[in-house]
Amino acid sequence: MKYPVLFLAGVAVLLTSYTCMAQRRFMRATPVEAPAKVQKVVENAVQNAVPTDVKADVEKVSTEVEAQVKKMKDAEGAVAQAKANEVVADAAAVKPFPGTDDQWKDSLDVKWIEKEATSHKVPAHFNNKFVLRGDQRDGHAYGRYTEADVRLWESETMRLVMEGSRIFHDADLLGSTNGTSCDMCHPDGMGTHPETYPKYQVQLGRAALLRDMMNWCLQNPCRAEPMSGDDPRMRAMEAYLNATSSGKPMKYGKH
Amino acid sequence: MSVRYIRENLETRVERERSEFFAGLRNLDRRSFMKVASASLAAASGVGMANFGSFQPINVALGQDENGKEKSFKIAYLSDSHLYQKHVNDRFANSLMRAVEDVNAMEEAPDFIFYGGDLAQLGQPEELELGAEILSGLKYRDRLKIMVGEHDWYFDMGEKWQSLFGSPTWTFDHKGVRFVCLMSVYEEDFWTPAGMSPMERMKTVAGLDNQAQRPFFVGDEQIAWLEKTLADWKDDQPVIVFSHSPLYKLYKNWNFWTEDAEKVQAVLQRFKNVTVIHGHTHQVLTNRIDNIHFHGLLSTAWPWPYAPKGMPEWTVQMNRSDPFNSMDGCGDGEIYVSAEGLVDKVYNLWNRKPMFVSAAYLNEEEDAVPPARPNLPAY
Repeated sequence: MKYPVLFLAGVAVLLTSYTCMAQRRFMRATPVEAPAKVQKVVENAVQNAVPTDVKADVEKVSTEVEAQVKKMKDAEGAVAQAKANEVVADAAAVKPFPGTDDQWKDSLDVKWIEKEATSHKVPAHFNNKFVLRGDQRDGHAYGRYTEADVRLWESETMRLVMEGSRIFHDADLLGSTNGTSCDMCHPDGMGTHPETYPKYQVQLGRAALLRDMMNWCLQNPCRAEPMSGDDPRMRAMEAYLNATSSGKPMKYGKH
Repeated sequence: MSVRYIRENLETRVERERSEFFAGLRNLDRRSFMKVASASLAAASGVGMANFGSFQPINVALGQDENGKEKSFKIAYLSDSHLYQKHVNDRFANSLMRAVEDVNAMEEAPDFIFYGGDLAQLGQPEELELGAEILSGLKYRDRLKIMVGEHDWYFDMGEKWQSLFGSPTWTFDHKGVRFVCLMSVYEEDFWTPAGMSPMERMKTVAGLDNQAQRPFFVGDEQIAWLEKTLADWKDDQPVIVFSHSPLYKLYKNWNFWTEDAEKVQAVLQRFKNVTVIHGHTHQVLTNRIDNIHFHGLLSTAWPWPYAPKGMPEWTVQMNRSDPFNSMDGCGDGEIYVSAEGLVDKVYNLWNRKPMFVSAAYLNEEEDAVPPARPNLPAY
């Protein structure tokens, strides 16, 4: 008898508490609003309390503020538009494939070889087309030269030679401290006679290579630092001088 | 192994040793001087370089008129100094000063002093001003006659040079000889199509082997002026013409060349005694075309090698220059004008024996002495 009563009492307690909670939740979700009638009364009271001239001022100020805001918004709009345009321009500059981008051509003198060749002549490169004749190349893996090969040999060699010519004629590239460049005494490489080296250079007191004499010239007439034997400039200038003495018989040791 | 080299370069050392040597001499009495001098001479001639003084006077038989009165005269010359600005290069400035000292040291004063062009290297106003400053050290500076070279001209197209030295063409008569100076280093406009800046144009012209430039020319207008200037001059009266480039065609690649040389030669053809003196080639250079004699001038800055082709057969080439002997192949010299108005030319090669090219040699006279050949040929 005792347990059913307790059970029912418990259920009652639970139900009550649940209802209370539900009610509270409901009340929180929907704020209490004053009845429409009351609102109207309050509004009228406030409006009547403010004098009309102040009202006009308020209207005036608010229109001014509105105009100001509009102006600012317009300005912002213009800036935003400009930014948008810029973005569009950038988008146009960026190419979809970086490999096809030729922007680098602006900063690099791609035609330097042509320019150097118009300024300073060197004897023609040996014509290797003879390797293309005949059928001796058949069956030889290393003998299958094409015209492209022959062209490549020449262009690569001439690149080194013309680089040498460029340095030979430029005091700054030589590191000269007094404006003197090699061509001032040796136009077209004349008077350097690379075909006579190695030879005993009396004034140096030892058998000298062409580069030893070049370093002497760098240090004395040019007052520059000497170059190491594998300096790219030294290699290029040796190439140029050898090219200019093309056709002269090698006579090492000749004075 | 690190490369060590001597900070004091060769030319500075030679200069120092030379001045020490002379300072030492001043402190000696006569007896010990003779001892030292003979010992040094013996030592020096032993290695073949008996040259202490830079300037060695040479005796030239001067022409005399029927009264035994000397009629001939002497011109000193300096040429092709290629000066850079003071802070860039002291080397070329020093050698021009050496040439000025040579002229000042001449026992017999020259009737006038001739400067053969290329005073500056890159036509900079500072370079030309430095040149004017050094030349003002000439004892007889009021007798200086100066010619323009392409290195003086192509930076500002002669503006600064003309403001310092006046017109590039001039003429005057002296002791019965008519002197005319031509501006022979005009080039066709190659710089405008190439879009070159003044400095780029200057550097292109300054490169002797630079093929981007055009050959030199005198121009029809100037040839007409030359013809007019010589119109009242009789065929047997002597004429001496100065021009920076040689007034003939020697080697086009280096602009040892004047494009309209034949036209100028045609104007000079009628004169019996006519000589052209030119700068630009920096070497002993002699030529004769019909009756016109041509002489080059030495540079004070550096010697050029001889052109690989086109060399006139009249030229006895100077010794090849020793790069280890500072200022070898450079120098100055004298021009002796004889009573008939013919030119005997002295090339005062610093550190070597002077070379003498007589008018008699060029005229193939029987007793003429040809210029002495040096022991080593030019390369």
